[in-house]
Amino acid sequence: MHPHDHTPSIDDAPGYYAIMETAIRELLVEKHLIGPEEIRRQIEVLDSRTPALGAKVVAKAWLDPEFRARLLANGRAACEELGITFYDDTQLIVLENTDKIHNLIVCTLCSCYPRPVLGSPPDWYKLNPYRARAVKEPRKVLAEFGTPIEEDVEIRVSDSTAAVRYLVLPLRPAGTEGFSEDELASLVTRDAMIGVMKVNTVRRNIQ
Amino acid sequence: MTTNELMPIPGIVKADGEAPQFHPGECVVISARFPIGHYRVPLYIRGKTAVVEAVIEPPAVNNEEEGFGRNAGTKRHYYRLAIPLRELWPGYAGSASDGLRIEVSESWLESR
Amino acid sequence: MTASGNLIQRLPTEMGGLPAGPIERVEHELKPWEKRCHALADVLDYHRIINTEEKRCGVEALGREIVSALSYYERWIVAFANILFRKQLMTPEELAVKMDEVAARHSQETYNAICKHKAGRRSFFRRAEARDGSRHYRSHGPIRRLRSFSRSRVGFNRRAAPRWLAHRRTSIPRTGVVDGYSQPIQIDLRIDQR
Repeated sequence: MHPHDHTPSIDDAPGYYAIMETAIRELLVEKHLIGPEEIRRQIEVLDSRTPALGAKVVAKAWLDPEFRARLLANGRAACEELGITFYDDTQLIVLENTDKIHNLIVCTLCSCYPRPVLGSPPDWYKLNPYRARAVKEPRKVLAEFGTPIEEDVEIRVSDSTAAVRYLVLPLRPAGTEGFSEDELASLVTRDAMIGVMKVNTVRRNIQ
Repeated sequence: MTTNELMPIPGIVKADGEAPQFHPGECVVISARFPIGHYRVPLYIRGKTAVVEAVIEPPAVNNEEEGFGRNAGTKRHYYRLAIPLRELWPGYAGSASDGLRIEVSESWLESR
Repeated sequence: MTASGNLIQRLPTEMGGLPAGPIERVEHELKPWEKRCHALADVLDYHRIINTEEKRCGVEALGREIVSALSYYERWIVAFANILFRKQLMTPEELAVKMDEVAARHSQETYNAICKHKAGRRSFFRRAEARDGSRHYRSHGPIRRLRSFSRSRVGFNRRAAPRWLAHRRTSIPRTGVVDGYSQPIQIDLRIDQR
């Protein structure tokens, strides 16, 4: 609540679940089960994880074939080379799109997502329709996202169920010869790294 | 990193779960059992045949038991499996080469 | 296999292959409490107080009705509560008491901020409790003067009570919570609500 910024109103009052979260957190701190600064610290960690990190990984892989090979062999280790630490026990498999293979990621059981390198997933990724249909009719799902896939291209849908997370390494679009790493990174969207979109040369903000 | 050139030292006994039971290229069957309470193997692949694409390293604690608070114990391998989508969904309308990739614990797999 | 057996064998959160409608590309910026909830999950996992798999198991255990009715982080926080109770790391009573305390603290802060904002000008009014326990605002300065004035020999009719002192009852709900957690509290205010 920021009383200095706007007219305070009853809508600023926290809801039931926000109250529950605050109460649980305070009780855990009082009982010395967690430290008083740990949540704040972890929020800083989480806030620092955005699709911009994944975009840098992709851009580097496009420009540096040896990095690309290391990335495909061990996604987590390659990200850690760039300082993208993994604060949990998950591994990362990077899925390379080619002219003949298009990858898509989903979690049908819950909402597993490569958070250390992409940040928080969008709501649609966590909601039922995507999770129900991505494994059953990926072509229709991709078409809904405006990404039709040719019949002769194989679609691989990766469903996360264990400790591995996925990141799609999209195809580098044509017409980007001579682009710098930053220019390439600015083309890569979050949705391209989930696999529901392709990367094109129209520059836009990271989504 | 490959160790093809190196021969393992004889006489070493591995603990349970240290050596993977299945290898890339092998056909496996996902068990057709239906536990209640908690599982990490989706219903739509139960009883299906799959090809091992990769062995996930390192072995890890059984995640279904972890759900009940078991943070330790024998570690087993997980395998990245490939299953064609047309084998999962009757009347699948896409390409015959479209496939699922999914990680499954060794405890759910049997040789075909 | 009975129909109910199918319900038991499928976890409420498992979606793969189920019929579903079009995908709406919704997303939202996480609210502060949702971020804190996510951070809490990570911290509980580090400490192995509630590991990630236990959290998933806890969300599944909420059952279909609650999983459908609650949003993503709402499911998490309720699951955490249940797991902490089961592990005897806190009791339902402790949590209920703490939630009341948190709600009251926020209500007071919000209320104070509203009053501070709406006061705007110097207020002649102060909070008071009537003998019957109802809370309302009673003017101390002018009304007292008027009362004593009215008792004076000069007589009441010589000066009419200013219009802004006319008794007005205004209610502001104390909280905006719509979840049913707390009832809106009616407060009688004799305050100019400009």
